[in-house]
Amino acid sequence: MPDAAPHADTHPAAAAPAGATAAPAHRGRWQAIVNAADLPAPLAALVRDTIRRSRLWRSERADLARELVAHFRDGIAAGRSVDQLAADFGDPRAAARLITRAKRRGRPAWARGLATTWRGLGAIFLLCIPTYLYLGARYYLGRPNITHNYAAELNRPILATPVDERAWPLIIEAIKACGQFPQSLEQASWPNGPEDPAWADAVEYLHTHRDALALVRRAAAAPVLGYVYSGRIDPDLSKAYEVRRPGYKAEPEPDVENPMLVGVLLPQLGEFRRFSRMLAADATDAALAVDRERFMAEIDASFGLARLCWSEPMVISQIVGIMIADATLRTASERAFTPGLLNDDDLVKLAHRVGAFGDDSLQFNFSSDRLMYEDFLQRFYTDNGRGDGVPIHAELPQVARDFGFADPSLKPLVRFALPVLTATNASRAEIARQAEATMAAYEHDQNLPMWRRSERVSDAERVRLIAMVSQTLRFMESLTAGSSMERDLLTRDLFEMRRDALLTALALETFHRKTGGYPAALDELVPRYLPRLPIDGADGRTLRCTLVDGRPLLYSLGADGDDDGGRPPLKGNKEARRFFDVGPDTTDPDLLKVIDGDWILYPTPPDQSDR
Amino acid sequence: MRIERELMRGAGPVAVLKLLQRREMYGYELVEALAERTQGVLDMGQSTLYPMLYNLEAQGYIKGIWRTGESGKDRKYYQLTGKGEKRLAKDSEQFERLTAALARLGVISQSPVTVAAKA
Repeated sequence: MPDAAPHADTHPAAAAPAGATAAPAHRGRWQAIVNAADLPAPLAALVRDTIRRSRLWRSERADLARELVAHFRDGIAAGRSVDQLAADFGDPRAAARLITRAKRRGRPAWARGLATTWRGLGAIFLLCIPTYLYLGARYYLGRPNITHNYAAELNRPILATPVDERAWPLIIEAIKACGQFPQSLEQASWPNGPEDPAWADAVEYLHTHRDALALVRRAAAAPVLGYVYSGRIDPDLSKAYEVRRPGYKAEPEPDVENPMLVGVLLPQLGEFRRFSRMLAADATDAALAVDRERFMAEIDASFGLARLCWSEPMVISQIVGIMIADATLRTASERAFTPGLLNDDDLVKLAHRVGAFGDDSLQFNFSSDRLMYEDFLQRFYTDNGRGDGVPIHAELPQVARDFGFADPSLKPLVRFALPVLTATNASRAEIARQAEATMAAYEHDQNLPMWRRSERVSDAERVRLIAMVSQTLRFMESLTAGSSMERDLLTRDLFEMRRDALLTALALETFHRKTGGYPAALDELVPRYLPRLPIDGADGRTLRCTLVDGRPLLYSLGADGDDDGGRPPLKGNKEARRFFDVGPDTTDPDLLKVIDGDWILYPTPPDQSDR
Repeated sequence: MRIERELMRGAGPVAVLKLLQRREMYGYELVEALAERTQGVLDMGQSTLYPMLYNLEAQGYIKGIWRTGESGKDRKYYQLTGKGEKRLAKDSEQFERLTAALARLGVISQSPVTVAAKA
């Protein structure tokens, strides 16, 4: 007969039973409890088996052990046989399972919440494994479908042009003819007048290298630039560098059959800029020597170099073309009015030459930018044949090495993470769509005049595109860095304004020579002296003109948008231009001081860097 | 005769709660009481009883307390809680209605209510 509790016939909610001891601590190893119980071996084994199979906390196991031991002791005390007790207990496996489930239900809320969380995380982890395997296989086993050689596409018209119509071979010869530059002339910019300490060296060098300048003039007159795009340095240029830099040894480089377009070398641009500076210095020397023929030849050649760069398919080449043309404008503006230098016909010829660069408005050619994105997509994405695909690893290590980056997949953690990181990348079709939107924005923006620049959207579209590409090239982000199209357009707009100001100045000079005075308004110049009125990029109206010390001064309203009578900004044109987009509505007094004033376009501001 | 598992799942907890309504009991005692007082009908294996007790405890219907009985043995006594009382009342009412319904259908001969009324 089982022991009755001390208050067997009272409700358990009644007072605590007399003689009862405190509840034993539920701590301790359950094995020790079973061992100490001295149960018959089959029952002890049953208890052990049940507890071992349960997945309970240590204290729960101890509690269970204590209770089962008490149970079997009671059974034995009641005269039950070991076999009968074991049979009555049932299947220990089922018991363990049910007990575990029931005990867990009784755990505190935080423990149940934690268990649910762990189960959730475990389920997510299990789901992640096949997902990761799929992404990993897709990323590492996917192959690109490189069908186009875009560099070859750019080179096709160049290679179809006879060599004697290309400027580049003559430029190579000119580099050789230049030999080693004196130390004072190795700097990026050449001196542009006698006030520069290096001027004497420059003049001596120019006088002793007429053959080189003659080659440059011939090159500038060639129909095409003729540089062949390649992923390695032009071997002929490499040989020419041996002449320019004593000690330099040209090392033959293996040709890259299908170079990544964004990685083709553009050494011609640096050479063209260097030669344009030489020409500018020689034009200045000619002006000082009142040598009209040489002056005109060098200005003509310098515009020729600008034209060749501008005609190239890459926007960066076109920007260099504008920069060379802009520098030529400066030289012409500063020196063309040297007394006794140019006759009336020369002024007209110069005006035609200046006006010929860009005619009305320069229109960028974005075709190679489009090709660069197509080339990027064919190398870093799969091709499903329907214009879509996913990012893949195949070309990444090679491209990283080509561009001098560490191969990202060499780091195990990065290698592991790449499939997941790239899973969120834009798809091939998305990038292609964004590239098209960006190109469309470029076309839209370049047709907007400067005074409507606030409507330009290029950079917003471009930022979206770069963000997408950067995701794929996340370890080579500098590959995606580049110029801002809106800044490039501003460079173009400012050049056009300065170009038109010089054309107006030449027309005013011609008018002055013929009439002995200046017109009361610029309208009087059109059409006899000037085909059209120059436009102020600040407001779309005619450039402002005033006489200062009896000489014309042409200016734009500038960043503040009001007419200050030709007074330059306190800190110069360039500083004021930095805040061009702030506009006249700003209330910042410091900024108002900087933008207050007009941009002087002619004559060139004394500080040549402040244009 | 032991009853089917599905029926036991519903009847077992009510039976345990009912036994504990009178007084607190420990595990083996409950096994014996169930077997004796139901003439073996609700004689359940311990692999069923203990999980049932732990479930009732987890739901707050009973509370287990370790005590040393008069025999000097440590045992875990289970008490009915207030919540368990309510649950028992509710389950009892439902069983009464169930058995009455079964009686009306002739599944069982007489409902306990009828028996009690006759007594």
